[in-house]
Amino acid sequence: MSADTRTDSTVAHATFVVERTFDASLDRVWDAFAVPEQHAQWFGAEDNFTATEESEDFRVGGGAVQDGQWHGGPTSRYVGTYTDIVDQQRIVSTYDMWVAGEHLSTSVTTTEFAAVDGGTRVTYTEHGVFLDGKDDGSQREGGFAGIFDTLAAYLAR
Amino acid sequence: MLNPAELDRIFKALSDATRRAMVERLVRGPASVSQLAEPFAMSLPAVHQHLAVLEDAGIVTSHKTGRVRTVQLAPDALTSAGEWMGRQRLPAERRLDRLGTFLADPAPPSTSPHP
Repeated sequence: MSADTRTDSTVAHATFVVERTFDASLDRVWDAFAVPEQHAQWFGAEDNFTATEESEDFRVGGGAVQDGQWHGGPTSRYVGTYTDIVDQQRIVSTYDMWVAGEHLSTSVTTTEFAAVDGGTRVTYTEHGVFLDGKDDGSQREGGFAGIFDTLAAYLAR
Repeated sequence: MLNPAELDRIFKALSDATRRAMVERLVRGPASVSQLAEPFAMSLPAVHQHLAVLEDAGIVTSHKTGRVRTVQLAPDALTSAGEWMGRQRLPAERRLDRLGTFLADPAPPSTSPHP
């Protein structure tokens, strides 16, 4: 058995809570999570990211996988497991992320749904441990801003 | 595009409530310096100082006709800064943004297997 040994180890624990109210019925919002064809249309669909493998098995014990690549950036792998599903009320999952083949994080997520005035309130809570100071590779600043600055400078000559 | 020094000047300009109020007024149309100064208990030199900061950041431009200086908002001046701020979102926030876009799509979703 091999172990990944490092002389220094840093972990960062973080909790995020994001709440939104969507102008849509609880049925529709739940389905966006529960129906794989719908989930795939928004969950990992970043504009500067290409997914190479995607699957979702929406049941307790089922898994979700997304492999892909940031444009001009590293590969990214997401592997999650649904641990608790209460129909139209909550989804609990755990997931791991790897960026460029290295383990980035392990997280526990809870998504809660409630019908409210104005539609459906979704409350997303994530507790994660982020490993060794790595980032998720999305480079939303460095990648594109850098390229455009270089182009702008070239065109201005 | 996004130049760090330009972003510095814009955020510095907007870090003051009086200057933000002036920007809000100019969104509604151009104004003379004395019109801009009106809501504030402030000397004209102080008003000019605020306008100089806004002009240095490229947020406003001004021109003088006779003795009257007219100030106007510069189009697109705040766009880059707004876009920078809009990009600083956590993955979870971006996912819920995308969920919102998906839900707003008038195309009907596929039938769901409700138990």
